Amino acid sequence: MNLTKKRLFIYLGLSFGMAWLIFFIFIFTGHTWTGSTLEIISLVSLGMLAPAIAHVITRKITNEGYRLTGEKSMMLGIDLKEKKWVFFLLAMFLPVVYSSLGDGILWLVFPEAFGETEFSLFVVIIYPLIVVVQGVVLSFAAFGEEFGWRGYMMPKLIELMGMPKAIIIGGIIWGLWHAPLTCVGHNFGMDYPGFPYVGIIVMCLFCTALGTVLMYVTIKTNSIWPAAFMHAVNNSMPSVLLFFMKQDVEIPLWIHSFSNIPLIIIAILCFWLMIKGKSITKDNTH
Amino acid sequence: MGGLMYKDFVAIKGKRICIILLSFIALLCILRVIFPGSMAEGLEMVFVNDQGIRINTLDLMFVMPYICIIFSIVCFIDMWCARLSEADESCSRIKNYVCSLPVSANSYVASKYVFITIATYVLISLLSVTGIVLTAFAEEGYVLDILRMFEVMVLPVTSLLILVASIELPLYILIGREKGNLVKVAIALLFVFVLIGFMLFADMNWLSEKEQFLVKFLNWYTKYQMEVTIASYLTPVIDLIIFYLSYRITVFFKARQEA
Repeated sequence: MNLTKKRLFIYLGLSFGMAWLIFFIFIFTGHTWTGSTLEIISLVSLGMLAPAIAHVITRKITNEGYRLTGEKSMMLGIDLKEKKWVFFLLAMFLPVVYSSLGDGILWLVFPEAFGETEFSLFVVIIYPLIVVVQGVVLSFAAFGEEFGWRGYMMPKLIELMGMPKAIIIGGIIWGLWHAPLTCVGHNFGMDYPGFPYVGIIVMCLFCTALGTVLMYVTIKTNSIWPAAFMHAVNNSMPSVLLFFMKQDVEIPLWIHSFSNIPLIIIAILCFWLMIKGKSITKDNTH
Repeated sequence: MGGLMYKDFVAIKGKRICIILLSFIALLCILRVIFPGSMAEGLEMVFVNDQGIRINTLDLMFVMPYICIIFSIVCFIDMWCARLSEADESCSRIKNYVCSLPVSANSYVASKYVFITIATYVLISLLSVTGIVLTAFAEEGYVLDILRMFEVMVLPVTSLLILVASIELPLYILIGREKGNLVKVAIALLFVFVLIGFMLFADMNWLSEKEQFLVKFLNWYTKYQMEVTIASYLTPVIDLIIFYLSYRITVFFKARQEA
């Protein structure tokens, strides 16, 4: 077996093994995502650190070393020169834009789910900034995932199959990693036709779209930090229209999927830019 | 700059601190999993206080080390700021080595600031992980409320760490540890005098009713929870601006010193 492939399988085995162990303990102790307290959900979210731990262990097993920056590194360096700081800022604020636009589309398609807000205008305006600050300061969990997926898995996949295929396969792997949680209501709840298979497919699509954008900022900055910040802000529900969403109205999954349209458009753009970019090839990416 | 930061990591005995801190946190988390709050009833560790509030002593036992970790983190940053410049000063070999490096004042100062930023990020992350584990196994009630309050306080603590570093790093980098400590004590004394002045001349009746004060504080927190949360989330932004200004000022004076 190809050495890169072997390394990739070791990483995936560890990453899936450790995270799924946590997820299955959560499931088999009778918990569901929608029925659990915020404290228990936060605890299960620590499974996000599994890819990072898997990355470190894999490097130890395969003797790849722990270079922080440069070729075949863990991509932990931060270089703000040559306008790379723009990508850091973009990564922090882009989730606010696409999430708000997505919810805007949702409002147009399903206006019954939205109404008046009980919060003051000040809170609504300041909310995106709060989410960005919270996301960046408390980005350790998202860093855990990005350090594994973008820092180890994606470079290996690109080396094996080239950029376009790697992005799609990487997205599917990432989506499948969430599958146990999707089966207990993570992101989409448990009340939709085709549960849980449709949820897993939608999650794979979402992960492919988000993964494309995350990979783009990672490649542009040669660092996983902007991806970690973006992932963290994305997970903090940055849409300002959330304040106008009614809590008691259930939005069908197929309608809810419309909110991903802006992200998919941005992902297609990033995908095109990555394919077009001559500097990013199978040989020199890492 | 990576080399300079590694030197700083060695100077603060980073490896030893990492092992001790991680072991302590891991032990605390493992003990919390073994002894969840729900066990307290069986161990007769639940009592009701005079005001009728049910207090889980087992949960309380885990809250105390958590509070200690929060305070020790602030102390760590304070100590490290001093230790970073002391290491460069105390050993002539290191001093000569640093002087011989082809790095500008900008890079030298930046390495200290970046090091403290990374240390703050790592410590805050560890604090959050500990908080999540402790909270998940705590029973609903008074102690859980305290833990939730401390979880909200993670961001203000981050702000405090950044603020401490913004004040101390320029002092230690520009005037050295000894003089830096003197200036720090002078600033602290100034604050103490202001506080004494305030206590002498302002209305201090609320302090005589200590228990009432605590209840009032909790009521005030509950009433303005949203505003407190918003303010706590935005403090790191203001502190980051101060941190950046502090860095620019230090670079400016360090460059002049070297010239």
